[in-house]
Amino acid sequence: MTSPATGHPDLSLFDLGHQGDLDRTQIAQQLRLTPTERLRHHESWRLFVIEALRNAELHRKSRQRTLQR
Amino acid sequence: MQNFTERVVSALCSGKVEFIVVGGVSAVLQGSPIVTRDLDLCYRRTGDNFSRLAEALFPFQLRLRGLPEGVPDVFDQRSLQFGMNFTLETEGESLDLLGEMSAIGGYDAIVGRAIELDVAGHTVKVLALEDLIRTKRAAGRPKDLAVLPVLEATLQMLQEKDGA
Repeated sequence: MTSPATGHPDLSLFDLGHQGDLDRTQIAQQLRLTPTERLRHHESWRLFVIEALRNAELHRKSRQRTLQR
Repeated sequence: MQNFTERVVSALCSGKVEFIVVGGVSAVLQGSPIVTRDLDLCYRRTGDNFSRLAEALFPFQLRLRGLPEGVPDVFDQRSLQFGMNFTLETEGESLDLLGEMSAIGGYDAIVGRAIELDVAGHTVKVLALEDLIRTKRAAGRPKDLAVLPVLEATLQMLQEKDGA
């Protein structure tokens, strides 16, 4: 697909969501929810991140102990 | 079952505490798809509000973050009066109470622009995205700067939605 004006490929057709570094489809999805629904959706990700960081810390400590032996 | 933010907000609203949800959670409530670990609240610095805030938060058994086990730690009306910004924790959850924020100031400076949203059945004041962007830019830490593009895009899409 090319832009009629420039003849260059129309990048927006190949980058529908992200448009660079951002995923605007995620924002649009959030904007369709109520604030409480947004908070509850966020909570599942927040708990996931907390658990992941805890595991990463355990892994780091265990690796440190192994290297010290 | 209510999550930590909902429980804190419910306790503060029931206790008639004057506060504004700020930080990452304020962005989440307005539709930014970011993930934040802490709950940040800006509280009004008046004597009455110190006592209402300390009373409402008493059941959470908050402690200053990073204090070694066994060190006595009392978070009450008096600590609020003599301190400004507090980083607290309880049962693995983090709560920051802010009297002042970079570039935008305290409660009285931001409350006029704060928006009101329904959170878990309570009407709660939430920091306007424009103000959140200003304070994060001023704070200038890598974690603050990293979320700026998402916040700015959310603001733009909200404005487009409101204008439509």
